[in-house]
Amino acid sequence: MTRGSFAAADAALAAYDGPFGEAEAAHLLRRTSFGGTRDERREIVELGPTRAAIDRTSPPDDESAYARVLDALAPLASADTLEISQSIWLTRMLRDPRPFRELLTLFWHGHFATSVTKVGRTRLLVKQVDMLRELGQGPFGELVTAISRDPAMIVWLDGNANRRHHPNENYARELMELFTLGVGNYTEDDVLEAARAFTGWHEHNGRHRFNAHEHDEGAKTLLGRSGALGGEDVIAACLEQPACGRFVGGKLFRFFVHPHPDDALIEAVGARYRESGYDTLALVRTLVGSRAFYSPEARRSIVKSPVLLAVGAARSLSLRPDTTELADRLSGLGQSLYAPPSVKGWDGGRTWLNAATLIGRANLAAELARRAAGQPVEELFGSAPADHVQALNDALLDGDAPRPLVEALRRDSLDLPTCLRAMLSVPEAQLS
Amino acid sequence: MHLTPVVLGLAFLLPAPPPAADDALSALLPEGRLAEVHVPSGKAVWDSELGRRIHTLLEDQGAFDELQDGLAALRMVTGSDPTRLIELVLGGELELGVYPTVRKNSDKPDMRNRKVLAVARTGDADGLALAMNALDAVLAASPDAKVKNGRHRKQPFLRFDDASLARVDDMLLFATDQHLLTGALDRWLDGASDVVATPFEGLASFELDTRLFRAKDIALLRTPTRKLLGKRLANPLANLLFGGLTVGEGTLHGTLTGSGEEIELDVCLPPVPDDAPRAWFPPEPATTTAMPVTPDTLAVLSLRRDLADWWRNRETYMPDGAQPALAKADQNMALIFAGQSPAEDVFGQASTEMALIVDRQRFEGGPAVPDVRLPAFCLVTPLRDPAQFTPTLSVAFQTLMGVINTDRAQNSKAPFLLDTVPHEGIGVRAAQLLAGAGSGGMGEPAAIDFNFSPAVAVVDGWALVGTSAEQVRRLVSALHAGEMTEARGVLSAHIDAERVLDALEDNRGALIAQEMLDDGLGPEEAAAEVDGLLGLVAGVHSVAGSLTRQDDCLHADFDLVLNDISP
Repeated sequence: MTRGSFAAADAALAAYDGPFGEAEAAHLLRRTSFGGTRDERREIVELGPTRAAIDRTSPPDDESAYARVLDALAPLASADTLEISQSIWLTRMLRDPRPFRELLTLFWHGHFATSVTKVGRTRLLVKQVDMLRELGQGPFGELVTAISRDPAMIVWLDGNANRRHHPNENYARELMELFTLGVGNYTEDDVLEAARAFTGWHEHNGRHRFNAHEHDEGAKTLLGRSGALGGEDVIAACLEQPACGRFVGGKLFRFFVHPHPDDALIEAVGARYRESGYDTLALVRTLVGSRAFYSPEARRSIVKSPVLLAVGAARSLSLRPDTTELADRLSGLGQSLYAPPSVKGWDGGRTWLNAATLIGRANLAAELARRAAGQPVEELFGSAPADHVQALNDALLDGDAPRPLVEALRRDSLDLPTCLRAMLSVPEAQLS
Repeated sequence: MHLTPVVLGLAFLLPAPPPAADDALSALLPEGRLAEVHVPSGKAVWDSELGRRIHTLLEDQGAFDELQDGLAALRMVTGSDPTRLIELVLGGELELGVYPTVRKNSDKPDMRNRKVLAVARTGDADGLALAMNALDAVLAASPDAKVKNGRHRKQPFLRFDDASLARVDDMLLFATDQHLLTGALDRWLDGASDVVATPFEGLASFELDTRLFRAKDIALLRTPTRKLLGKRLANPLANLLFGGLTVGEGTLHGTLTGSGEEIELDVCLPPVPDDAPRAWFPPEPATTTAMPVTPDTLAVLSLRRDLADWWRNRETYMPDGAQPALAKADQNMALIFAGQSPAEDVFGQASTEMALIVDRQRFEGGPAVPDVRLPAFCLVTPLRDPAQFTPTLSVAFQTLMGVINTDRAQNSKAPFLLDTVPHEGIGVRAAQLLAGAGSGGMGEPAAIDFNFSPAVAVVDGWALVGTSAEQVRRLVSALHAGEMTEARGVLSAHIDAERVLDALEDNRGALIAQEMLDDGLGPEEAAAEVDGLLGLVAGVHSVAGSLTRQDDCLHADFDLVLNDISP
């Protein structure tokens, strides 16, 4: 990396000061809010890029209506079934007036991937995701500490088997490899020593319990630290490493901005993240207000995950899907909430698309079209549109639908559900 | 909207008069019908309590808004009022026939597509003539209507698309197939012109020829007829409940009557032959059996079955595809019952009389009250040899709970604690979750698992196997106190709608949440939907039904008692 590349990276992270019209607003909404309606686009155009980035990542002034939604859903929370829990989370994504917090929670769910398939108790997974939602915007160190004590994570990575005389390395290894540092930034000895430091961090009756009898109080040395280290010391040591900022900050960049940052850009992102005390919200605001974010390279550069595709379409049209059925479809498309495929989370990117999932995505579009057919058209667009092809193009593709498609839909005078299916099936709809 | 499913649906909502006399309106219906529905007075149906409730329900849902708008628009465009025609047709005597279509190049009936002939006698030939003139005007003003005038043996009729319409005297004939209409006209012209009103005084009657309903593709009729209720149902529970219902062949007929708040449906199914399978039709006991109930019982489902014969001959009663799962179930039961024969030593111990008692739960004295409150279920049956079976049941319960606890432990869930709870001199074997993780407190709701505290007991020669220790204790008390309800026939059910309402209201919050998830509604909209449902249930006092074997038919009766909701 040269001095020039560092300067270019800094410039890419500088606040965007270019034109900010509906196209830019739509791009910001896709990345921070699953998508948005035309009214929302117009609202944030007025704010300009910097204030818009802050606005979309801040809670709204009045959340009382959303609080009523959450209160009404509470009686089913005790059902403790995967289907209902998935359904409730999707409902939150659809109804949260500032869905950024759900988007970021989904990011952390993929980062600290924990699956109900092994944990068994859905309730523990729901509590873990609640914790990710609560702490996800704050300092990353607090989040890592909480996840290290999280009962679902302890069950998932065999924390109860991590005992003084028989350390289990599973959590220590993933903490370094997948949660904080990335491969190549720690040694095998670091993992062994970290495992010893986490001995006794157990789960009991759905709660974290520090079992002092099973904790190894001996001296350990890892990542440049020595002493009678405990789990908190391991976390602090990981966060001290420049690799942590690069690894986690880079992952946030790929999720929110575009999938192909160069090394200098990742270095710059990592440095900012670490220097801010790993303030996640501050970094995300920097990223989604940056020149890199609005660069041509970033526009429609990310393949939408099934959840992003479905929730985005539903939010853009104020659709009211059956979320239990939707969760089932999303599982079929490879994104089962509370059940990522492995501790690595979802691979994402182009792996979302293959012959089977493309058919599944078309079926998802058909199901959303069916739901749209059952709702008044005014509910979908705010008012009855004179031209539903154009209205759908605006709502779903920000006006970017391929011209031949728009012309064909108009020429054949196809009904709204058919047009909706067609719009959601084009490549542009699969990209954020 | 497709008319035929509606008509067939009506056929099941409404129900069999004695066979129609030759001079009845049905004389106009050509032969070969699958089903026939007769309504002596449409007005009487709409004026009945049931009709009023349905009308109110439809009105509340805005079902008439579109119709009213359409009629108003027609009045403006044509200057004619089509309302009179609707009143005449729906208020008079109605006869409806459902027919199979015939496959092309074949004589075989096509069960996938049906055709319908309806005859409405208005009793007002002049009024009908005027109304038809109005209809003519409406059709003439409709640019899209492809109406053609036709004549059959000098009798005029209208034809639009596949449907045909004709007026003869005070009768309106409508058919979805022109041949059906001309067939009816032939019958009228050939001597059925002096048909008189059928003397039947109920709300409606119907008749179906079950022999014509074997085709698997009659979706609407699949459930209540041979395909699902036939001799070899694959689902064991459905097989046990409904198996044998259509062992007889012939016609099915029924009547719907209404008196004040009580609506009764009587159906006469084809009679059961003498050699009907013993599992489904065991010999009737010498005395009527009664089943225990508690003050919280919301439903009782009683059954007369020979379980031992059913299980012993399961290869005969259930299809080949179900056999592997049944063999596995047999093995598992043998394991739980310590190697005893499920057919002989377990099912063979139950008498032929049994019931499923469903109770609202109160959760008194339990470790936690779950947010979602499910009803409790208990299977009760008199035993053939209580002294022998009591220890068997107790040990099997212990083994079963051990298996369940092992599975729960593998999923990191708290176990059930087994105990014997003395109650009125009886030892109730019960398993209860301990208060602890998931039992609520610390801002957490209690888990749904706390609805279950499985229990078994043997009392006065009866075996009780239930999902709730609280319910089993109450049923022990009911048996001691003789609080019983009569079990009628081979199958009977009684639902106390007021108790059901209580159970639903216990879960109002959960129902609202479920509605939000299913329909994407907001809390207020979902609450309105749920309250609408609760309002509907509140309008019902009880629902009861039974199936009784008689010499001339298998008699089914359903009794719906509504609550008086007049202000």
